[in-house]
Amino acid sequence: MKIKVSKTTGIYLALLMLFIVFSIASPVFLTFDNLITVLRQIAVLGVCATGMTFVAISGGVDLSVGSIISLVGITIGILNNRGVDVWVAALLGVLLAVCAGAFNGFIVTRTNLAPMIITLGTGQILKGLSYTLSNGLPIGGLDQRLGFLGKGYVGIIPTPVIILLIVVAIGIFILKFSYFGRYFYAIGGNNEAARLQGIDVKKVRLASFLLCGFFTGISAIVMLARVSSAQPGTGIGLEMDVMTAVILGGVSFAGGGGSIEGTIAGVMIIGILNNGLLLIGATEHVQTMVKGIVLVLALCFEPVQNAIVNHFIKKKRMQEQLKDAE
Amino acid sequence: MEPILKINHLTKIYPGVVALDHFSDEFYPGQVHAIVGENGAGKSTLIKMVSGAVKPDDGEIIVNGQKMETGNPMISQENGIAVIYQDFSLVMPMTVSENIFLGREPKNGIILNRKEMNDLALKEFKALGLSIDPNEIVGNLSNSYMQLVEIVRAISKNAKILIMDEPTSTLSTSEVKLLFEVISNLKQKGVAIIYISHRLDEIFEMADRVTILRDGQKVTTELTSNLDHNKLIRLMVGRELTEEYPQRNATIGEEVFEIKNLYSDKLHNISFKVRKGEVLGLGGLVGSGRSETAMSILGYLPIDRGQVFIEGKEIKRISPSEIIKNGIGLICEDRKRLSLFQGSSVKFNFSILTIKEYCDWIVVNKKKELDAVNAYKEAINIKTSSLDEAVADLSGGNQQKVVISRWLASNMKVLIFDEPTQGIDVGARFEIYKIINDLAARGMAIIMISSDMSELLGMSDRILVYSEGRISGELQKEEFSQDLVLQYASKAVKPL
Repeated sequence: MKIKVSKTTGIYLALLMLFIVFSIASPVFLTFDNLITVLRQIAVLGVCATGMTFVAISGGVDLSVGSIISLVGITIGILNNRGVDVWVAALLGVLLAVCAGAFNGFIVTRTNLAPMIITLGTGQILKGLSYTLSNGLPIGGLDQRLGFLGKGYVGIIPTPVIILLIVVAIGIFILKFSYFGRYFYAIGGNNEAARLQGIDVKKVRLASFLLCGFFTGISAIVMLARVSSAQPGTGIGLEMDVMTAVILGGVSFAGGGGSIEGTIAGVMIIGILNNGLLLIGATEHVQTMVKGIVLVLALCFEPVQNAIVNHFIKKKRMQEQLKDAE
Repeated sequence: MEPILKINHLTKIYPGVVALDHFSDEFYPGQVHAIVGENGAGKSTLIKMVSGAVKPDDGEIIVNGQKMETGNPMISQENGIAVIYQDFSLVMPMTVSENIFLGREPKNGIILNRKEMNDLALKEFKALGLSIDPNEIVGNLSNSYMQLVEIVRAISKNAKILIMDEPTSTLSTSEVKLLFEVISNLKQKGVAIIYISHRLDEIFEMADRVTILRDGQKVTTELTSNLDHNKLIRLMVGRELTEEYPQRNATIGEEVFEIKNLYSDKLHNISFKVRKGEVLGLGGLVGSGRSETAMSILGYLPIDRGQVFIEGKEIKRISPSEIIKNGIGLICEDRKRLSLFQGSSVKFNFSILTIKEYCDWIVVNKKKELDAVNAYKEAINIKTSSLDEAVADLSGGNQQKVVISRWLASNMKVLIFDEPTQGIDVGARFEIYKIINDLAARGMAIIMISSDMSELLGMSDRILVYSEGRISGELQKEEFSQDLVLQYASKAVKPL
């Protein structure tokens, strides 16, 4: 007997349930304007989480993404204030994020230390750097043209949502359709086996951090464009929401599983929770608490599911044994 | 003399194999009783049941005339049975005496009485003719002294039956001498020693009696004085090999693969060549360096020096990706740990190696991929309900076939099979032999590592036998015999 419930099934169910609950609880929730708002609000998180998905599937984690977002924003702000064209500055910002990812990946692949420890450290470095460069103060006076990426619309669709869709498409293309997408699953699923099948595991791991840096850089630009001023504390703590989304989406940080679709479902759960709780009048602190509860529930989902499945298998086996005995 | 340990009809059945079949024997105080047999003869199963690590399916263990409860390590310890394992159960940062008295330290009230503890340790050492500083940190000791500390700890807990599993495998000549002196002292104290070793020379030097195991059954127990080398090997080999192997129609061509002077911490000067269409068997004991050679060739284990040649050309950078690119593949022994992506589908596991071949530009052409998997699934008869099924849900034989199909699709020039039929049922076994024959007929060079004597002799064109990290003998087809393989495999290469 095979009972197969995919790990992500629960996530889509949870998403649907939240949707229904908030639709009933608040008359505003299920309106076109509000749903577009939700999508716009999750764009930054979604873009960054897409990057993190690559690292997580490969069996790693990048705790420095929040700090990278801050540093990229500050750098673009400073460059733009010194007369560099804002688009050039944005491009350099993304490049900086890729370099930060490369730095993380380089140390991880050279030392074989746990990515969690290393990126905890590099995150501190980058965070300190943002505060030092900005003297801890917000940097305003950005070129207004950048605002299009954060506040603009294409037709009736907000630009950040378009960017999210493009990023998700790229992510799905790499993971699902390109051949090297398989390599991320391979090194996450069984690093030693991957090595013995001739996969250059260090290169693949490095690539996962590079991609994570790249997408984090893009999310930093969207974030900056939305708030129009660069603040050294912008991204602080964002890595927790990103990780929550990725875990909700079915990646076990032991590696091997997960998908971009799952991650986006996780991001949407967070977005809908934030939005819905706000609509029914819950404070920011309650929101934090509820997100934590949802995360713990998601983590418990798999063991509980396994226990239930095992229970049925055991029961079946006992019945067969009884039959044999007769 | 009364036996201190008596075993009656001890039996252990694992799924598909009888590991030990109605084994009975007697062990006497003050004697060294050796147990010998090939890989898989049932030695370790026997030890595990005596020490309580494994519960027997049938039979009884009688210690000092009293029936002992089985399958409980604590009970076995209380009955004076101790096993000295190779991977020491010592706490490295603690001192020698702290380790010996761990959990039963002499105390004044709640304060540790270190002086008494050290004195007690010294007394134990003296009784065995040893001089070890009780205040030394265990982590600073050499392997042989760690082993001695383990022995002393067991003795100080009143062990009367000491089981030693390959105690000399990591020791130097002088260390072996020291160990043997200690064993002699233990004998005088009336301790019964069960001694497991593949070094036949040691057995003739130390053992009073020898029990020979073969395929889970006891062949006989003899006084060592009634035996000689040849007789012992004949008793270990015993059976006639009658299994049939499929016919191979391969022509052996020119040399395609060579390794030269391979050295590492586990290997000593390994050199050999393989020809097109040839099946080269690597025999020897588990841990003698065969798998290590394969893993070193791949660049998975580090080597100190050595060269690898393919078609006369040296491969300069030895890393798994580079070696595989040059057409050399390895099907590992440890399927679960080193070959399979357990959580992923059969399809994923098949195509991970050759995925680029099913691509248009960088996009995987799902149809091409599916056609390839299906072709191999048919060709070598992989039984799975769906190609999207997790590979972990397949039987061992089918998992092995998935791994083999992965390599078949990759067109290697040299393929190394490490224990190709381990844990696989008879039917699937025969199919795997046929695949190996097919590959050889197509001109592939095959290296087959096998601990199954019948398979090794039945499938190989030529056999290299390993002993302690070296090649101790080479056999051409016409000289194949179990006796010779065993003789080479148990040859002490390092002088005793």
